Amino acid sequence: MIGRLWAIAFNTFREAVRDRVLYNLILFALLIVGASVLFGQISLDINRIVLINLGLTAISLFGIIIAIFIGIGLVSKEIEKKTLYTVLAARPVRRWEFIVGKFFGLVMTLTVNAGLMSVGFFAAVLYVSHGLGRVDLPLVTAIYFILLQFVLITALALLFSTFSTPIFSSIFAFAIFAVGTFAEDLRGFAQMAEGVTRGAMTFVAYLVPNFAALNVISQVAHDTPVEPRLVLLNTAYVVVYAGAVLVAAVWIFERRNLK
Amino acid sequence: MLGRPIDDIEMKRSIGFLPEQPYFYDHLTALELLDYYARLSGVDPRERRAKVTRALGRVGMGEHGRTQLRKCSKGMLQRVGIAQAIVHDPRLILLDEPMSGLDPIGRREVRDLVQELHDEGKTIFFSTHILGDAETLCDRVAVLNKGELRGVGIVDDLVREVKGDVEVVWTGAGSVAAIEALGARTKTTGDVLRAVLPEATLELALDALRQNGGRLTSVTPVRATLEDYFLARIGDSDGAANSDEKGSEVRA
Repeated sequence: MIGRLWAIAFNTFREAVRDRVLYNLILFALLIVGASVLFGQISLDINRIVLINLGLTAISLFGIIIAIFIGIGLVSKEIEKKTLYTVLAARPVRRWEFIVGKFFGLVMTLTVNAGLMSVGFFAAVLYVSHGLGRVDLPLVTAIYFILLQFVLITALALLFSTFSTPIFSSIFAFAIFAVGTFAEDLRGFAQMAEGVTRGAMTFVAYLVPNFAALNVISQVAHDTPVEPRLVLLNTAYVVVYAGAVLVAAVWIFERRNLK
Repeated sequence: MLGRPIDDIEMKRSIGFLPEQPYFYDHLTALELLDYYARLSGVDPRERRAKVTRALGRVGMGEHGRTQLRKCSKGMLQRVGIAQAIVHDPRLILLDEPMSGLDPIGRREVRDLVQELHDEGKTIFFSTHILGDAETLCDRVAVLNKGELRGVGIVDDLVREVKGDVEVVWTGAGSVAAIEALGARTKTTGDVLRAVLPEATLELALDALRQNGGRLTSVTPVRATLEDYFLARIGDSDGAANSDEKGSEVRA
């Protein structure tokens, strides 16, 4: 089983790389170098804050966009190209293995992509701060949270991919990401309502994936450390949420008539 | 299938399948594709590389292992398709139109390969519209027309069901009209005349020759082919163009 999951995941990764997904790194490099040079004129502190904000936001957004655009096609593209049948019809592969393998393949792609961007990012931080130290540790936490965002959005895009067309899937995925960015505000609004409305709104607010809690970019830009408790909670949240979404994706895919 | 339920996952380790249209991951090379499918089929990692190389070699793609599939011709893809169907050494091999897209040399090679796999004790089930291939390769065939089974059995048995014709060769032009009266067409080459008649009319034809001064040279049975069987089964009015003939090689 592990062998099959790895094979499917690695094939997904290889396909993304050969489809030139990593070309976004060039754009990222230009952005970071440009920002470092441009803001190098301003005072050291401001420069660092701008660079961290810009760099981490770019790592996050590039990854989210890739996650959505590849994620929505993970299943539908295989059905359209009929490659799915050569795997599910003729090989001892269970449908859930296919979904989970695809999921890990895309997460692997995004992790490698974010890892390479992080190397460039830390090089730029090193350049503007003239050194790296303990004060930069929260940046690693922020990047870890960005990876957790990727895990969430990949699971969601994959879920949409199991039952919807790529266009609708991308609309759903972008919409849910946008709404999830304001998840904590939604929870605040829900508390202001009364009676049944309050219950319903609270339910919806908690159903939406909480991307806000995974964004500590401005916090770390101001060198405020991230509490270890938040790391633990966010990790548990993403594991449970993404797990539930994957279970739903598998449930739908198991029932789909692929003839 | 193979004594297991049709949805049994483990059973799929023992089958190989070539789809009619080879849709494969075209970002992969032939070697990578076969390695991927071998992994999915649970081939022992220690043997995988050797099996992949052997399968590619057997379909004549040994030198094109590192070619990306998006750069392969239809014939090359068909060969890769056959290779992926046999890479994990399955007991039962299902091939949907294995000869399509191949040139005459390629078709001969695939025929030889099917024969080799058969000799190794594999069961091969393939579909084809080329009746000659089915007749040459198959122990047993099934004839389908518009999705309905029209006949199944050993080739010789099926062909025997078709009433055979005989070719009659003689000299003596005086008997032509009498022979043609039996519904045969006569061909003349110099002094020699020949006609193909239904076997049932042979006695009548010989009588006609005797009465009209013809001198019999030879009478040869014309062996019926699978095509004759097929046409006899579906009837001319049924339209052979829409037909689908399936050949199967079954060794239970």
